[in-house]
Amino acid sequence: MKLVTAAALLVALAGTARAFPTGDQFDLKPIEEDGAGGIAFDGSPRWAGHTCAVCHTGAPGRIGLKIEADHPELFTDGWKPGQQYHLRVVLEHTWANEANRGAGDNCGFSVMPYRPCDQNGFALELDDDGGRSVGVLAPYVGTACAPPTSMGTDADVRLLADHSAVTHSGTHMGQIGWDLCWTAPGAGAGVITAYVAGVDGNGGNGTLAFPTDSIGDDVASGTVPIAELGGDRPVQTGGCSAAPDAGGLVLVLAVLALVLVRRRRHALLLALVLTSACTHVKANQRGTLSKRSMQFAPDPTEDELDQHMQQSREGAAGGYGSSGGGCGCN
Amino acid sequence: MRLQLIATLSLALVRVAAADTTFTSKLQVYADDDHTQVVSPVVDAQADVAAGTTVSLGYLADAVTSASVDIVSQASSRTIHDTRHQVSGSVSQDLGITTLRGAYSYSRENDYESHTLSAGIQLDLADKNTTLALGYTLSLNTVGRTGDTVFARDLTVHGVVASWTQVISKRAITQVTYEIGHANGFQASPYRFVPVRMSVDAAPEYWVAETDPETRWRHALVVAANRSVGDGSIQGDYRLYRDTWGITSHTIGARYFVALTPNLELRLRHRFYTQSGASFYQKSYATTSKYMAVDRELSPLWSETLGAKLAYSINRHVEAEIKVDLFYYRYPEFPALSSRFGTNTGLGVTLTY
Repeated sequence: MKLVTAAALLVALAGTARAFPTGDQFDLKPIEEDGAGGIAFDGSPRWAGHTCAVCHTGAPGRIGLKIEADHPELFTDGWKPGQQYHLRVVLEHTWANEANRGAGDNCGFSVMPYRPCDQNGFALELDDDGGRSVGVLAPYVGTACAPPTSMGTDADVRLLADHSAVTHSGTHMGQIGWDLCWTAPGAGAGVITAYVAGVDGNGGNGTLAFPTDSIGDDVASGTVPIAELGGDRPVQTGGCSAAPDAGGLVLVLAVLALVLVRRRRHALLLALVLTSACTHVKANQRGTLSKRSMQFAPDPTEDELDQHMQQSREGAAGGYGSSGGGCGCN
Repeated sequence: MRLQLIATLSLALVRVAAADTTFTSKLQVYADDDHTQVVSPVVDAQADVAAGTTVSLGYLADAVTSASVDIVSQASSRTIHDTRHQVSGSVSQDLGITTLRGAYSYSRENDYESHTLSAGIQLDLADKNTTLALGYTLSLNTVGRTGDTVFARDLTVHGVVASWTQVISKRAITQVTYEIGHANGFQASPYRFVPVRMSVDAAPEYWVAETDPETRWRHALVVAANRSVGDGSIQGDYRLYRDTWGITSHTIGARYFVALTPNLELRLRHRFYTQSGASFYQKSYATTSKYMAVDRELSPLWSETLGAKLAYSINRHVEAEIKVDLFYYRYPEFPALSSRFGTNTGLGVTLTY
């Protein structure tokens, strides 16, 4: 069965180490059994947008995520009611503990001296617009989909106890791809969003040499909206109607040009178009927007110093924030 | 092992829920070929002291050494030394979609004292895709004159700023800001005297104290956009400025951020500024006028600034930076000085916990 790459490259900020080496820990009680209590932070609304980055903090965000499907039209034409899809979640550009990837399962506490495993993982769920998990998730074992309730033998993935999400099983180390199956729901479910998050972990045994913490890992997360076949294309909610993305900067520059040539009414109209033609970006899709380099005042202290200097040497002032008090008359 | 995993998870969750404390220290040095140097050390501390409450405190100093044409054209041609000290504090409270902010700063130097109060409100709408902000600033200033214990003039400045920030896509965001300001009081230099002469080259017949209008309305409109590109971003902004003294200016800024390595970020920037002169500014005054100024900042001028900054994350808690800006000012109608070239260099470190 040939899988075709058709989904998104998703990158987010975050970072730590081996919170859930095995998939069954997601269902264990958090205090007594060192688990998550049925929680898989994949960025979906029911987890308030939390991803693996909740614990794996400080990750550089260099890795990416990709979802592949055996029917590539899933991501172009939409999901077909009742259709079973073979999906694969792939970590891209991994780097954490790459040196031990070749060791495969020959690592961890099963070898002496201890050798940290290249311990990666993921979590995925597919929700409708109401944030409810829809369709049927199942492991993929060997060359076919297994029954939803079966772990099968040597399965890459494991379902949460309530079958609402799927995670890595932890059976094998060094994995950067996981196969699973998803059967689409009946007609009328509308746009379904795949919420996915992954960790490029470096393992560890809790010693000084190989600390068992969430440091040194990398994390990625993101969403992929999937239309229902024959239905409307995925649209965003919240008052915006289109997605100019790259055109945003061009439009702003056009506004500036019109201002410069004294076509201010046209500039105002274009500015209104600019602000109305935008994409509604959800909280868990703001990995890029939250970066410092995307802030309008990434260094307020430096801005204050610069503006104080400029205002004492130029006739104009204002529009960029505070410049402090004082004369600056030199 | 299990206990350790529990502890790890718990600590990480606490770290997310609790607060960041940042401490920033910078040293900036300004130097130009008009014989002016300004050394500005600054320290800032910011902490989330309670749920949604952020407090910041700061101190800044400007140690000025100057023998510029402004100084030379005055009664004495000696080099002057002066230091401005500024302390500031602010508090903000996050109330869900609403954030309230208040701030105060006090600034004092040898011949100038300033109190600045500000308050603002910010509304996050449409799942934080749209942010509206409104702020008010009041600045109460007292202008003095070195060596003259009697001279004291007031200057009161009001400012209102409104901004609209709009997420355009997952990789682009725009902002429109409008600020109106009103200044009332003494706005000239107590040290400058204007020569009255028959021509630019003629010897002055007499001198009169610089006199600017007491009232000034300022309007500034800024349109800005940020766009993510690869691991970095491109930022662009434009400011249109006008005031009731007759100055119109255009400012265009561009910044480019790129991650050279996961720990090293480079910022390049360019700024172009141009302005017309104030309506009462003259290259030379042949007779006395109601308003008279020899202030190059009120003459037509333009400037270019090019800069680079490197920020290096030593680890999760410590970041160091170094920057160099080169600037050039051109004064086509200011006889005492035709241009000014200089550098603005800086070092800084930020600690985050």
